[in-house]
Amino acid sequence: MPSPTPNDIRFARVAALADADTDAPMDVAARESAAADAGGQEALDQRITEQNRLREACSRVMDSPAHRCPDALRAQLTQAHTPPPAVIGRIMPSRWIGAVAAAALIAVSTVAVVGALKTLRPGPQATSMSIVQVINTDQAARFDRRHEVCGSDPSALFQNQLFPETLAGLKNGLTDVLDGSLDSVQLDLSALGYRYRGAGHCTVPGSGAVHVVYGNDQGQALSLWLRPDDGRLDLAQGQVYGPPADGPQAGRIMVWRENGMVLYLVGDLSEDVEQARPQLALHPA
Amino acid sequence: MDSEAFRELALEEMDAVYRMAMHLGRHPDEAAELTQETYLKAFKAEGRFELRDHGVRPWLFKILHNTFYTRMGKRKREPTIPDDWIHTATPSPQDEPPPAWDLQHLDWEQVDDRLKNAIEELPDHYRETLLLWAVEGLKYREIADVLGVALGTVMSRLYRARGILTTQLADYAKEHRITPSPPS
Repeated sequence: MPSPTPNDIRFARVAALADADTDAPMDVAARESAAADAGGQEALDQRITEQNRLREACSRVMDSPAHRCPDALRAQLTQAHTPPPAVIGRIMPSRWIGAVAAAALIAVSTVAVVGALKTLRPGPQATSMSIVQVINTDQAARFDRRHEVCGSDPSALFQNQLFPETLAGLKNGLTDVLDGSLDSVQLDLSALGYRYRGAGHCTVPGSGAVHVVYGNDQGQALSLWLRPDDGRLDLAQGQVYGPPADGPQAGRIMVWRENGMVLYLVGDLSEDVEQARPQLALHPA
Repeated sequence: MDSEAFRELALEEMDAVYRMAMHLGRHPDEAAELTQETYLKAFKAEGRFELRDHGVRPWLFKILHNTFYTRMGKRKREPTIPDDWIHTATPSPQDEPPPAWDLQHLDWEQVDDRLKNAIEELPDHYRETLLLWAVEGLKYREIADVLGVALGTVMSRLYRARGILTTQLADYAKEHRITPSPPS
């Protein structure tokens, strides 16, 4: 292999920095340096956008329903790794009452712990609405990360499959992509100061999802994901779900089911998420 | 973390583990066996798991990766690219931009099958790295931990993998004169 030329090294550096930016955004100094090497900010942004699109495309084509865990295997694994009920063997009568009391104490403790894990305590800015955990910390972090990336640059991840630039045209785009009848979908958050900024395919919640991004004048963003409800999440109609109560996304991510769709709402501020959620509605034709 | 919480977290990742097992094993039976073995080992080693920011997924992938390569009887020392490759190697001929620059006019919707085939044809260590990054959403450092390689190796594998994909897609787009469809 011939020795690399200065030009080769320059391109390699730009590529490495741009690629790394899709993993964790560069700081100002690194971005300026990369932009200089790339021949300008525009060229660097283009490179980053292309890498993001490639990542999205890879995710889309390699995450097919055929790659979902089969139900039989799922049931088998769940059953195999569920602890068997406690077996009380030959317990002397004098010890029996103590054993029952201990079992009752364990049961009450378990219920309390599970309840604490599953119920999100409303923060100072939240209402008393009960939110049950349905996504774990890792999943919440993925939503949060994607919200942060697309919220700052909605054009980055849309793979040229652009939805209309205005909210008015979004309904038809969603109807086509989500294969549902969304006759009078209500996705306007302008009353809260959030304007529609763009929408595109996204695989964070799973295949066939759409990510809608809003922004306000203060530079804050709201992200709404919609995907057809495939039943993978056991969501009750009218119930709002969220991430673990003790995680960094508590209060900023809400999940619910509505008219055959699962909706995920993520925001920079928990109070904005809370106010925005009732504004969003999907009405069947 | 108590066993019950660990169990819930781990079982929630079944789809991701099975998906990765399918990509590695390339057959549903192989994927099912890999998934079962991964969970068996994970629950046996539960005491060694530490819940950090990334959750349980990377840890399960690490077990899956080791299980797969053990099953395949592959050598532990995979071919790797030096960590400093990215700063010294030759990515493209002199005065020619890297292939990724040619993709600005690509209509991604029209190249799905081509892209899928191109990914399937990648060398195993490039393909696994790319899938952990693109499909499973892992960060470079997490991927390095899963694969047991240096961070620079992850970067260079991704750089190589993306280079191969973009070259193939650019060639395909040129051959088929694919241009972006206008926004609807």
